Amino acid sequence: MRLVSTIALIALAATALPTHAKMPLGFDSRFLFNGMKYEVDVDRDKDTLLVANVKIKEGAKEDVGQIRSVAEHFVEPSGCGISAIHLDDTTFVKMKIKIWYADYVCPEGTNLRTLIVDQRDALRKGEPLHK
Amino acid sequence: MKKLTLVLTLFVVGGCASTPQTMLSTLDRADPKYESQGCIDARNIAMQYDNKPLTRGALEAISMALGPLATGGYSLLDSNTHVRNRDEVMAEIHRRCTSGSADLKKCHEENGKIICV
Repeated sequence: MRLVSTIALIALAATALPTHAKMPLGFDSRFLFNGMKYEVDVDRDKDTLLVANVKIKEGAKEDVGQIRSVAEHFVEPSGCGISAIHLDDTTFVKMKIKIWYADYVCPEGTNLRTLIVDQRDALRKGEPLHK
Repeated sequence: MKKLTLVLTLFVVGGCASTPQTMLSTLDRADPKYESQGCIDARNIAMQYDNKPLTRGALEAISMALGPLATGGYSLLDSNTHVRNRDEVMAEIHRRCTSGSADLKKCHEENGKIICV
């Protein structure tokens, strides 16, 4: 009985964690943009970045143009561009956090995924991407 | 006393899940899609959605706490179907009532850089 109570209390504590702590990403980059903190993760298979504002409150407004600016700012040093921004409705519903998908296109010979993975430690400290 | 604490805890844990009704309060009423017929229909469905918060929420919490031990009994509730349906209702509300969630541009290469317009 005590064990069950303990487990239930742990489960309760877990629900009290801030929303961003539940974010499923092992993020590749974290940086400030216009005074807000964003996390960016590169998809390991598709040419897509996952972008999330880590401190945004549930229900707060966040538009697609704002996310495009964040994604473009992030990839700019690589010469890559952002072709599409979209929101995964399912992720939004389940995780209560908006995770945006930013599809990117790179010049021939540039592999953005490799650049990000190679510079991951520096990017996680807030340093900008470099070619 | 311990039993009471446990029961209250489980109800609170069960009540933490998002529901279609709570999602309605997060919608932007100024969004042009908010007053569309599709969104009105989705909102009506959400208002009528039965979350069964006391029984189902508590049983979900018990299942979460006991893990594999509770799997057998819990499966009788067909909870996966319930959660899936709830998620589908919420995804539908989001799709019908929220605009501006996609932005496409055409890209071309110019002097070794990609330009998207």
